[in-house]
Amino acid sequence: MRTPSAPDQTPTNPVCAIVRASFEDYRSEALPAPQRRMLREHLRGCDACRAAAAAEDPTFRFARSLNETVSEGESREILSAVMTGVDLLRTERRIRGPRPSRRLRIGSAAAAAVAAAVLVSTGWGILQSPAMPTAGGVPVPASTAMISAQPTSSSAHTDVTALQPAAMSEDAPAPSPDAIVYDWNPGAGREEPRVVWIVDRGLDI
Amino acid sequence: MELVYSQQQERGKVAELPDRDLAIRAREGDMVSFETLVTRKTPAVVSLARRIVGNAEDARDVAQMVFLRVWGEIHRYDSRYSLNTWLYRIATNLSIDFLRSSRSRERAHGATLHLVREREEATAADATRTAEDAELSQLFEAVSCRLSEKQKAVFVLREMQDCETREIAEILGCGESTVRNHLFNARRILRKEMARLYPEFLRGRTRS
Repeated sequence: MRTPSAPDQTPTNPVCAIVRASFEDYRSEALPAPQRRMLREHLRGCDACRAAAAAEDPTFRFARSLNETVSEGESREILSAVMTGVDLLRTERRIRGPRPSRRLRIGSAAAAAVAAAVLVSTGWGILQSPAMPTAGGVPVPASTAMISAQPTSSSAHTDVTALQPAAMSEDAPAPSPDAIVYDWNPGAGREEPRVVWIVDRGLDI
Repeated sequence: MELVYSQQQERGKVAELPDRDLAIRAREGDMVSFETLVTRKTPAVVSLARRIVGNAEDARDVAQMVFLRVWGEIHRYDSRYSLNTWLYRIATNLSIDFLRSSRSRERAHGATLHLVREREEATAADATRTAEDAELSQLFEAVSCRLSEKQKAVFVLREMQDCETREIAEILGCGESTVRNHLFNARRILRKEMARLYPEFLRGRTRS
């Protein structure tokens, strides 16, 4: 590595004097772009100022564009590798087919969301439609209707299986006569979820 | 024969187009324009990547990734903005990602060893580079190991690529004050490292 020559303390050239007076502004990023460019240009051509700058702050040594020489062979090699990669990507895209447009993707996502919503509401419909919980033919008041689970008994009792989703009703055993069904929001429409809570004391350990 | 001649003519015409026009044509699927763009921008991208990742071999790998990314994302290029900013953003981000990988970090820390090796295996490319540039390049590789990826990228973009602070903020996706902060810290760390590794460079310094 070359060591810096002693910086010239008294520049005779006025441009050198201006440049040297701007070092601090350069370092603190306070120099406007044109002056900054001029300073860099000057440093490139003036050995004395370059040495003075390096003596002021060694990082001034890097204040210049370092031209990375890429040989023609290297450049060709990079281009060839890039074009091979591009060909591979194009083939991959051709096999996969064109990517659907953004609008189409958003549309598909929206359709899927709507389908899911319909499915969910249908599920709740099954839960609600066959027999709304009633007490003696009169609909149970909303919120905390408490129903005794006795499926085969009088009409005063609610058919508990009707409160369960269809998929569960086939396999799930009927709750014991001691079971209490809490039906919150029994009169819920399609938009509102229905919450049913069964407490079966017969299962207590 | 005529086809070859017309292709050469086409390439000649395309080579004279400005960067922006090349990018627009490449976006429309013109591969000759894309090839011209790659050839034209290779030295700048390799140079930037080399300063950040620390060695020429990795820089060439990064450059390939950069141009592949450019091809894949060319439809996103907004021709109202400078191509260089967009290209530097891709190159800087990929270089930082590369540097973050453990393999590359090991290489960066072993910069001094690499420096010796590089001197021994002086390639044809090194020979063509001016001696002073080569010297500075090696010096930077040796003293920049302690910079964070962002500090290094900011310093390289500002001092070696001569980018504006605003442009660097755009490239890195951060504020201008953050850029200035990174720059200030990078200078401080570099000064410290130079004092540690090359005290002869601080001889005659008037202030710290």
